[in-house]
Amino acid sequence: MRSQSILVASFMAVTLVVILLFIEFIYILPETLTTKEAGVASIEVYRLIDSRANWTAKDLVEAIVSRYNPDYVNVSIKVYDILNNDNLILSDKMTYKLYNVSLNELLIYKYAYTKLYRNGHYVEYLVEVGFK
Amino acid sequence: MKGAIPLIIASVIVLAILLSSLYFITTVNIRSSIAKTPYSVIEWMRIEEELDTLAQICLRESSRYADQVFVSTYNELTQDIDYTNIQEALYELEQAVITASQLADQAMDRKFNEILGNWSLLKEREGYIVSFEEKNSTYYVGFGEGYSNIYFRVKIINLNGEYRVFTRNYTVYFGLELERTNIDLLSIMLDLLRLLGLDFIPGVNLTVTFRATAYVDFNGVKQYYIISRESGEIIANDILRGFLSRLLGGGGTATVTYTPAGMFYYGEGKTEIVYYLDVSAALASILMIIFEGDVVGATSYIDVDGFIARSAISIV
Repeated sequence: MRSQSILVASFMAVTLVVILLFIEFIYILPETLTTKEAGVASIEVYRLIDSRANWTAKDLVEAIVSRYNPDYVNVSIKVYDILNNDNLILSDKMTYKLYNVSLNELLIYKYAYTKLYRNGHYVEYLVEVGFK
Repeated sequence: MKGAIPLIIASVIVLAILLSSLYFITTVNIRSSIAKTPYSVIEWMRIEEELDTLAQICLRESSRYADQVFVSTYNELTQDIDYTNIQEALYELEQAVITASQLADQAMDRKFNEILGNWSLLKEREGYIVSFEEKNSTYYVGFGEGYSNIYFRVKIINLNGEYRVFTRNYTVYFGLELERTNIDLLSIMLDLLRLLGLDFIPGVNLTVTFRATAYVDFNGVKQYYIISRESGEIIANDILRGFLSRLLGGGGTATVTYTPAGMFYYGEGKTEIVYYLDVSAALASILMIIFEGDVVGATSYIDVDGFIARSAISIV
């Protein structure tokens, strides 16, 4: 009887430890570790655009490609002058795509961002970033 | 049972370590995730910033435009004034300030509405609904003070259907007064000269002191402006050179540049600008007549980072 109860108790203790470890590694750690949260907002296009005043489409595409290494980037920049009847004073467009990638197989994030400058220039950035 | 005791102790220790490490990990990470700002909040913050810029553009561009209209209207109205009768000419100059101020105010409204309209068109193209509940702009040139002001209250609905109301009220103020004390002293001196029959001798020293006040007011927060030496020169040249050359029929004074002898900042945007004029007694007599009243139909302006306010002189 005594050896049986020792066996049962040790079995239960081991099971408890295994269950707790299982719960921790499967359910709790993935939800609480910071690495997962950082992964969600990885492409900070808005902050990138804000970091400089005069982007050309080519420069912005190059900056996004060198930072995030995506498979597809499409940038369109339009500048309107609100002091002069919203005249379009600049329109710039640039696309980057690897030759062996089809748009259908990509997950594409779209960003629209506008900024009003003190000289009355209203700049509209449309950015698409695609990953496999 | 004896054999189970170490096992029980071991599992209690393991449990304690597990629980405490779990507690440690979860509490630290929960705090860091709360600090995140959702995009919709960032969006409103960006619109808030954009409206600041918009209000500044509106005040700068429309005050500049209104001032151009004021100057051209004032010049047009005053070009045919006959200065032989100085009292009448002074009255006409005052009237010109009042009329030009009204026309410039209307011009400012036009420019202000145009800029707001252009901006809201672009915003609506993006998908926002923009409606101005109240909007008003004022360009005022008074005697002793003048200001340019823009005010709007706008309701914006974003793509998610959230709506917020924003208010912007920006003013640039300029006060301009001339001290009478020195002129009164001069008057006594001139009377004395006249008694002695010496009223045409040159070399009468006259001290002219302007008291200028300048500030910008952004939504009730005043930022006082210290008038620079260059702005001080502009004030003197507008009032003394520009105005006197008109009264004297373009003679003599038009080419003189007046440099301030001293500028003293008293705090709260108040600056005193002092000039020494070396004039003949005859010219000093004309100055006496001009500065006899409370107001003079001569104006000057202040340019604070591109925002313009204009004021006519009052004598205190």
